[in-house]
Amino acid sequence: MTDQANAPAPTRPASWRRIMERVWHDKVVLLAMLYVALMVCAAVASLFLPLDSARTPAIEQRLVAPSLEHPLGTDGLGRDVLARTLVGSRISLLVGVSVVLFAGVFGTAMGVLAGYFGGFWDTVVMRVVDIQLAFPNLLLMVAVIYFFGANVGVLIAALSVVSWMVFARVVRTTVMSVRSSLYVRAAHFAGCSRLSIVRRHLLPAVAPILLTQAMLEFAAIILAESSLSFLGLGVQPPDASWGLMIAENRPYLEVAWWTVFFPGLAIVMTVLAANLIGSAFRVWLDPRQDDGPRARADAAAQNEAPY
Amino acid sequence: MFVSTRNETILNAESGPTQSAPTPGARRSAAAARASGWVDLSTVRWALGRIVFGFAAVIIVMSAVFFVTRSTSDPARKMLPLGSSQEQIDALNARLGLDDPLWMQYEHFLSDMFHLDFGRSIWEGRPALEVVVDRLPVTFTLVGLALLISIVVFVPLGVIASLRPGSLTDRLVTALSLAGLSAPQFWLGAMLVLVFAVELDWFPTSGSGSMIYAVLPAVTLAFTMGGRLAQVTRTSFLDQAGSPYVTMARAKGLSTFYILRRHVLRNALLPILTIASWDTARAITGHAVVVEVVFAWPGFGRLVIESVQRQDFPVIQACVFIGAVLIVVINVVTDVLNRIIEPRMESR
Repeated sequence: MTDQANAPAPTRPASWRRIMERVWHDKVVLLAMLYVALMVCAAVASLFLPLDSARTPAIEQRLVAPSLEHPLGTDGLGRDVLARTLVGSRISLLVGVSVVLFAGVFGTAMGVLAGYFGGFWDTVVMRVVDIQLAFPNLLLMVAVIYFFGANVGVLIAALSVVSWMVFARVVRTTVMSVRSSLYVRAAHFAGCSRLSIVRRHLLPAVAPILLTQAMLEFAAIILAESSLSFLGLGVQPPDASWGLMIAENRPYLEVAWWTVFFPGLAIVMTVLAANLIGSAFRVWLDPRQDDGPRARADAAAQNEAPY
Repeated sequence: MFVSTRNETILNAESGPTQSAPTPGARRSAAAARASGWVDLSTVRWALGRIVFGFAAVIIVMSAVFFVTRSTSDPARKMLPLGSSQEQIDALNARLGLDDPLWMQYEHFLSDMFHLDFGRSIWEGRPALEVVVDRLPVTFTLVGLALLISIVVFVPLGVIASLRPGSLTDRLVTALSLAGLSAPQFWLGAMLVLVFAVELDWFPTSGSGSMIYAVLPAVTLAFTMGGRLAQVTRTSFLDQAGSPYVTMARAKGLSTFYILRRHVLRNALLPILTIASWDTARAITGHAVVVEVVFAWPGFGRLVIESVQRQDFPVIQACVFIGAVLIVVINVVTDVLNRIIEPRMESR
């Protein structure tokens, strides 16, 4: 019974509406959401826009300062920085979304296995999580990418392998608290199969916190992808990725700051927006943590980066 | 990556409403242990368990590396320059024992690991582990300096922010740490170089030599480490601020500074130090790699990336090993010290 007393309040559909209201009142989060929406639109639009200047070098106009023709200037090979930043957003989104999806689905499955079925499975899953915690993730990813070759597929796989534990742990905790609640036991005694209890009762209860975690993890993955691309272990030239753009243009930093500044700004804005949204949601969903919007940076601080 | 949950556990165990009261027996044994000046037997047993688990984790990390590398392509082809003949590849395979059956290779691999033998660096010809260990002090200097900056600058910022939650100061500190947590080090580093090395010419852009070269890389690293530390400090102090003993001290008319120093600091310090030490392990094996590449700092992280470029597999393997050992050692030492200092905290 003490379990129930300590369990977070069961999630009701009403809490979603309350959150939407709070988003409307919290202009910072609203702004962050608008930015993310804008970025998604830009990434989709970049598929259809004629952005040849993102890939074709034009040596005669290299390192042109920001102007009307090139709003963010051109890079060391004369390619338009704005066009490349737009194209780069695709990779960031692709990697971020797919890693969150893969790691999220696998992590949720493991979390439910550990939290609901418990016992032996709980021990196994939590041991694996514990062991993975001792992994020097960046070093391991470097070793793996070195062997499989650097490309986006390997990057997504490597990042998924090192991020699923976050989801598993969050889901496990929530499932354990919901498992003993009256409605789940009622469903059990009414003869619902375990699978249908998971589907009808546990997953909906986990959904909000899962979404929150996904947002925070998305931020961490974008940082990790850009870092790996910067180190030459992610996206390869001539493709565009924000991290790669900074690596390519670092020699020109002193003469053409815009080639490094703008791709980096894109990373910071995106990561910041995702962090703000994720941490605001986390605080709002957890009544105990809710000491105003300021608590959200704390939630971001407690999030885990893949390295 | 794993700092957070433990950190939550600790914060909750310290002050959360869900804290379970220690049983009288546990309290007595802990008190007895402290009185006798030595830790009780259960702590020793627990610590041994942690150490064994740490060893197992290192072995599993290295086994993962072994099976991943052997399952993909033959390492010999990777190590030799492009266009090497099949005979050369076969010869290297035979020399490295790569033509043995997999289980035999694995056995050799494990026994070599226990003898701390990772083969010779292809680039330098010296034992790979020696090459890696040589680079460690340089990285420790960088990370140590970054840790110092985060403790001297960001911990006080977190304390100041916790004094008036919701105030302008609190918002500014929060914004700063959020920015630190959201900015990639390679970009932050480049921007610092642009301002403080190129425009103002206060520091060299990159390289190593005297301590002046370490300032910009350390500050870059401190933003990431300190961003988290400031928030943890703030939370930790805020948690204490609500407790009865602070109210009591206030009622006695003690000054805020005195309360902070004599009462709050003592209770809030443990989680902060724990996070700081875990983050140090993470920084050495993660963030410092990026920072060292940006600033051409000749440490452990740069060695990792150089070895990838040079296809120096033995060194990469030794790097992963050292990284795993560092994480395990720092975590186990932190956990054990925590448990000795605060026997109430039986989180596992």
